[in-house]
Amino acid sequence: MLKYILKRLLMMIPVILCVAILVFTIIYFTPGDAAQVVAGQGTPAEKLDELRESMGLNDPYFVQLGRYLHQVFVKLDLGTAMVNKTSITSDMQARFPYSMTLALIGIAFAICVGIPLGVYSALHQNKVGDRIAVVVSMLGVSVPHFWLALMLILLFSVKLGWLPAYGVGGIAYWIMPIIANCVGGMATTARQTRSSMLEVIHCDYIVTARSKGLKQSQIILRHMLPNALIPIITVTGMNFGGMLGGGLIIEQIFTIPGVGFYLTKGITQRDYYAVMGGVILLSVAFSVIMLATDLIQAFVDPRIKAQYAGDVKRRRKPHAREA
Amino acid sequence: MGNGASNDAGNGASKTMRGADVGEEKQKFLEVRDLSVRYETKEETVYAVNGVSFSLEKGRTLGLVGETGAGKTTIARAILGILPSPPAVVGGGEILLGGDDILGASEREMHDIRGNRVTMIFQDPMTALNPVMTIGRQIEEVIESHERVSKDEARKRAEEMLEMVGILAERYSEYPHQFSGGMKQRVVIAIALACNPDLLLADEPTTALDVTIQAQVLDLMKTLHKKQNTSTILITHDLGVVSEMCDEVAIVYAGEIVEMGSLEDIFERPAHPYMLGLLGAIPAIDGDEEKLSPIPGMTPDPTSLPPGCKFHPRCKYAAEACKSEPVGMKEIAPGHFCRCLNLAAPNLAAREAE
Repeated sequence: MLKYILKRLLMMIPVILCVAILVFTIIYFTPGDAAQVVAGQGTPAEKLDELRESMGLNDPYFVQLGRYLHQVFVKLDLGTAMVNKTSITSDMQARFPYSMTLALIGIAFAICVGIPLGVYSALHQNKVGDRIAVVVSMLGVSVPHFWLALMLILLFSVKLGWLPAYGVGGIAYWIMPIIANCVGGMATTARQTRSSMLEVIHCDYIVTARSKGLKQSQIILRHMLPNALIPIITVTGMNFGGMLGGGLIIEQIFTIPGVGFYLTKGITQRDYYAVMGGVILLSVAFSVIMLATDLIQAFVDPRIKAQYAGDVKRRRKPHAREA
Repeated sequence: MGNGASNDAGNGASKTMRGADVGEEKQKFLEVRDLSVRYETKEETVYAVNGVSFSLEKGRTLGLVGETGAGKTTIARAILGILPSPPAVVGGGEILLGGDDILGASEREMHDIRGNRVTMIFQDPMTALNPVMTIGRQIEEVIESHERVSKDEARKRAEEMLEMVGILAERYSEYPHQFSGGMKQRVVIAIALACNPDLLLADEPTTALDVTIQAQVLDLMKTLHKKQNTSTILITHDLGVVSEMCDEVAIVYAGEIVEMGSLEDIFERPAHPYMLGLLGAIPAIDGDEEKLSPIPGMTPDPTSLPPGCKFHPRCKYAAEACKSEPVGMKEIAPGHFCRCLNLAAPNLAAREAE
C-alpha cells in the first residue's frame, strides 16, 4: 500500500508539470503585453522595450517556458506578481487557508447532510419524504451558487440585516459563503447516496444480513452504507475540488481573500504570473484530493485495495508459508 | 429461546435431549398452515404461494421440490419473515414455530428469531456475503447479536465455526472475494449454523456450485445436521439431492403442495401426475429407454392461475371436474398426502405401470 501511495505521489509530478506547461503556453499566446502590465499605462515605448528585454519577454517561447518551470519546480518560487510586485508564493500562503476553510467546511456539511438525506430517501423510496428530498436535491443541483449567494445577501443582509454581506471576521461572515458554496455539493451527495443505496438495498447480502436477525440500524451502517460508499466518495472528492476551485466566484461575491479572489483579480488585472501561480496551486490541491479519494476508496473496499496491493502481497505469501 | 451464554457442548447436549423428548411426543416443531403470499405491483398480482400447509418434526429434513417460480423460496422467506415488502403481501395463514405464531410476530421479536432459531442458507454464495466485510466478522456478527458474549469469545466462536465448515481459522480476516464459490457457501453455512438454530432453511444451497463442490457441501450439511440435530427445510429442484438428504418431501407446483409424504412414499409410490411426470423425466442409470417422457407445457403464469387443479392443463389424466373444482389435499396412505381428484380412476398401480 505504501508503495502505491509513493507511486501515486510521484505520478503527480508529471501531471502538475503538464498543468504548468499548459497554463504557461495559453498565457504566452494570449494577446497582451506583460511589460505594459508591469509598467502601467502611459509608459514611453523605449522604456517598455527596455523592460521587455530585462523580463526576457523577447526570448523564444521554449527559453521562457524553461525559465518559468525552473523557477517554479526547482526554486519552488511562483514568481512576483506583476501589478502589486509581491511574492506570489507568500500571497498564496496567506490566501490558501481561506479557500481551504471554505471548502473544508462546505464538504463537511455536504457529507453530514447529503449522506443521511440520501439514506433516508433510499429507505423510504417513493414515499412522501423521499419525493420531497428528491425535489429539494434536484433544486440544489440546479441552482447556480452565485445566484444563491446573491439571494442570500439580499435576504439576510439587505432585508433582514442579520448577516454581514461581505468581508471576513467572525463566524457570522462565514455563514452565507459556506451555505452558497456547499448547497450544490450537498445535493449531489444526497442524489448519489440515494441511487447507490437503492442499488445496494436489493443485493443478496442485505437479505443475508436481515436473515441474521440484525437490527435495521446495523444493517444500514454495516452492510448497506459501506457498500454504497464508493461512488459517494468519488462524488465527494469531485465536490471538494469543485468547492476549492469554484469558490472563486463565491470568494469574489463575499470578498473573501482566498486563492479564488486572488485569481479573479489577477485575471482582471492581466497579471499573468499571479494567474499561473494560482492555477498551479489549485491543480496541486486537486491532485492531492484525488489521491486521497482513491486511498479512502481502497480503505473502504478491500477489492480495490487488492488491485493496488494484490500482486505485492501474493508474491510474499507463499514465502511466508514456506518459512 | 434460551441459548444464552451456555457453551457449545452444553448446548448440543440439551438439543439432543430435546430432540429425544419431541421424538416421543411426536410434537410438530414447525407447522405452516394455509400460508398464502402474493406479490402485488401496480400492473399485476403474482400469486406465489396459495394455501400451503406442512409440518416438520424436530431433527427431520423436509425437501421442498418444485420448478423455478413454484414458490419454494417465497415459502422459506415467509417463515423467516424476510419477504420483500412491498411488493410481497401475506394473504393469510399461520406459521407456528414451537407453538408460537411467528407470522404475526413483531419486527423486534423477529430479530431474535432470525439468525438464532431460524436461519437460512442462500442460493448464490457469490452474492450472499457482504463484499466489504471480513468473513470472520460476518460470522461473529450473528453470534454477537444473539448471544451475550464478549468480543473475544465471539471471535473464538466464529473461528471455531470456520474450522467446523473446513476453512482454516487463520483466514478469519479475509474478504469474500478471496474465496471460491464453494468456500463462500461454507462461510454462509457457518453463518447459518453459528447460533445452533432449531430450523435451517436451505434455499437451493448447491444450485450455483459445480458438481464436485455440490457433493462436498451436501456432505458437510449432512455431517453438521447429524451433529446439531437441526430441523432442515431443503429447497431444491434436484430430485437427486432430495433422495440423498431428505426424510420427507413436499412437491410444490404453482404455489401449492401437490404431494407430500416420506421419501419412500414420494419416490416409491408417487401418486400425483406431476410427480409421476417428474420421475418420468429422469433417465434411469440402468434403463434402456430411448426417450425420456417430459411433462408437456409450461408452469402456469402465476398472475393468472388456471381454475380448479393448477396442473390440469398439462395433465394427461385431467377430467372435466379437474378444470373447475378446487382440489383439496387427501391422505391416501398414512402420512402420504396428494392433491388430485383422479386418484381412484386410473389406480396407482396402473399409473406406475405406464
